[in-house]
Amino acid sequence: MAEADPFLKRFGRNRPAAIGAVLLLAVTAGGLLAPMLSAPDPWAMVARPFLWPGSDPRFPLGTDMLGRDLLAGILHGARVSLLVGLIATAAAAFVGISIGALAGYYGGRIDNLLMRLTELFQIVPPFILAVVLVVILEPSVGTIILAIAAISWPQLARLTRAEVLSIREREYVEAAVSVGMSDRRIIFREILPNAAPPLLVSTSLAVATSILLESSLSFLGLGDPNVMSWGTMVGAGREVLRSAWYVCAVPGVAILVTVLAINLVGEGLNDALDPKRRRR
Amino acid sequence: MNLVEATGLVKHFHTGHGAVQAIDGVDIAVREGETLGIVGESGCGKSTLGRLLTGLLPPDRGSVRLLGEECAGQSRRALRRIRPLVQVVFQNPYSSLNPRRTVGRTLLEPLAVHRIGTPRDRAARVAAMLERVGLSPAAAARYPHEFSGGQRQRIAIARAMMLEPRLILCDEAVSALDVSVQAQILNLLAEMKREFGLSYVFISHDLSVVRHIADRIAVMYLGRIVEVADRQRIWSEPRHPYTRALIASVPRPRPGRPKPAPVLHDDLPSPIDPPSGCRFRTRCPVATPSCAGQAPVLEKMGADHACACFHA
Repeated sequence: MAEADPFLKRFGRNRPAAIGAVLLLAVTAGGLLAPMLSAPDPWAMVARPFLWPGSDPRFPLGTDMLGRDLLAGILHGARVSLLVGLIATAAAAFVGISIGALAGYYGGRIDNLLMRLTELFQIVPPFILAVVLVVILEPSVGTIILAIAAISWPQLARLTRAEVLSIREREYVEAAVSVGMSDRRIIFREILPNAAPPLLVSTSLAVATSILLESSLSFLGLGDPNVMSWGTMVGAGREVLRSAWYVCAVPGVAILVTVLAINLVGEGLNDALDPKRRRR
Repeated sequence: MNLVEATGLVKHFHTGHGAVQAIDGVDIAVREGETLGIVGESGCGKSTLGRLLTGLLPPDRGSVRLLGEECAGQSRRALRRIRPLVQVVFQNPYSSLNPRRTVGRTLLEPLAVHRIGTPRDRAARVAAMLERVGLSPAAAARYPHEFSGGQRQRIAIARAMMLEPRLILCDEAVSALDVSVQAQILNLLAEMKREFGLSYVFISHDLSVVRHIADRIAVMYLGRIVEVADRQRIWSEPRHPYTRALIASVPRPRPGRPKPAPVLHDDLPSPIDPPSGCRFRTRCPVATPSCAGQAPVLEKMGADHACACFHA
């Protein structure tokens, strides 16, 4: 086997993961290049309303009931979805993994305190909590990210705690203690890398869930009124669902493809990071 | 001189069903350059005693002195400074090495933690130690799962040796290995001892293994030491009825002979609610009603021999 980057190689050999990565790259590129690939303003009414996809080569995905270009909406919406998904998940992962690791490693009173705090967030139905937070704080990209992060971290905290609890008892951790490693080094070098596969999969799923949550909030009209989002598009299209179902279906497929791609990549990462599978 | 001196050790674990009296009043010393064997059934507190002696676990009561310095009640930070003196080789070679680290990283870590040597110097030390334990220096680039159980145990020994300790705790260090591999690892441990002037605390449930490697043997029963003596003596003139029963239960390679009747009946009583007085009395063949009163203490029975039994 070649020396160069065995990790990428293993990842690439995994067909579904590679497909997921390509799809995700395409969505990302679409979002980044949105103003160049389509109209710079997705809100602009550029053509006759209810142009079905494929009927006008200038608007390959057609137009909605106000004559707005759906392709422009999809591309600009990708920016919002990915931005919200990534930042909300990063924040949730940071908080959740820190709290879970501290609770699991130190146990006792610290564990009790942190887990009661976590449960405080879990006793409210998560989506309702997100809705309430967004309504109180006024809808904007920032508050949506905050609300999604606030309901996503408890799950990651619980999972991290469970993993740390079991790994903490392994003999290599005890060996690390006897070698004289500091707690911080033990958590970061010995425990968390071994907890990585489930955390990674869970975090990648959280990105997908965050995108879905953002879409749901926008669907309910709680999205940032200044940005075009996939959820907003589905929400707008639901009134014409019977006569022009494509207005909902096009952004719906965009959500589906993105969420699926992220899940495939997450699974692929899990497989590629497991050293036991390396020599296959 | 005593390398480790423990007195009045008590360690209870609190569970939902009550306190497990894992260690209940143990005095023991490890002398410089000796191998102290600790034997007993599973659940008798051997491993807990090992962890107390090496400072991996703080005792509830009692004192552990390492080279004259008190370890019990010290902060984790203070313990970190004395830890290099005592290292551990664990039972399960499959869970004692971090699966996500190369062998080289695992061996470098102790040096990095204590800021010993330059990076180049450390790599050279790792290579030398791998060779010393009978592996190729190229093993440093590989992961634990690529090695057999015996090889992994060699790696674990190499890791324990990296900080040049004075004492190594071997907690069932060969119990998970095949008999032929056991012998190789025992020989390696013996060589290391000679070469580096080490002491060992060797914990095992296997009396024949301990007999092979230990200079002195302590027999444990339900959280207490019932007899301690040098190897010859404990084998030739065991005084405690439990020690006698253990020795009688060691299988002997005499095909064709009828098997001796089992000496001990029943399981170990619960360490949550141990018998009063002498803890062995419920299974003891020579127990009398008086055994239920006071607990017998270790009494000297000649040079280097002590036994805790009213009828010894």
